[in-house]
Amino acid sequence: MTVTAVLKKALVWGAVLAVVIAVGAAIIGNAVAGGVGVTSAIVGAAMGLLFLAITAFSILFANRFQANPLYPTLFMAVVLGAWMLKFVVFLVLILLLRDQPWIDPTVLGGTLIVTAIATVIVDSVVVLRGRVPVTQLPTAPAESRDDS
Amino acid sequence: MDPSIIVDVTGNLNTIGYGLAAIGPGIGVGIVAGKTVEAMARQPELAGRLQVTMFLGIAFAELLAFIGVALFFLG
Repeated sequence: MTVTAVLKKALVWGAVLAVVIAVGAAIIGNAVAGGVGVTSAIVGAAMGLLFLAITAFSILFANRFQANPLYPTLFMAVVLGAWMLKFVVFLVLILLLRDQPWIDPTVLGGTLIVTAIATVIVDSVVVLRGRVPVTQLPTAPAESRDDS
Repeated sequence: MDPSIIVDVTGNLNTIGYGLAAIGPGIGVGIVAGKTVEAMARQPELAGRLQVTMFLGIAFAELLAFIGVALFFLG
């Protein structure tokens, strides 16, 4: 299994779990806060998934520059840049969402926490099961001749 | 103001909580990503395994920040 396969699998299973949590939280939200609870649960699950999926996407995107000599630098810039961007986006999102009339903050907060914990569990299981081989990349013949 | 009150904090305290919640994971994610890049520079052939481990490390470090975000709503 390559890194790409592991990350894609984590994304797919995270999305499946987020949908399941959204349905469950919508039922609970409907019982607690009515229609507002349903929208809050769906928004919460979507935010939770997006928050944790951005990391995987940033790694997948950074790996496109593997052939670039500046790959380690680009990798760090993309991964940490995505992390920072994510936090800024979420700060704006929570400031916007908090006072909306169609949001129940308790249901949204609860769904966010449940989704976050569930997604981390899925990530752990996928990463632990995905066996990434230790592979020595073969050096290109032309390159090895240049070295000698 | 009541003379017995030394400091009067007004405004949304949840925002301060969010900032505090972002400090630890910020340091953690920085260390995880930095060490991964360092290790990839030393052994590029191990990049795959290192990145998967980094992904897990970032996910766990972020969880705390994420709960900080959620407490913004719950508080």
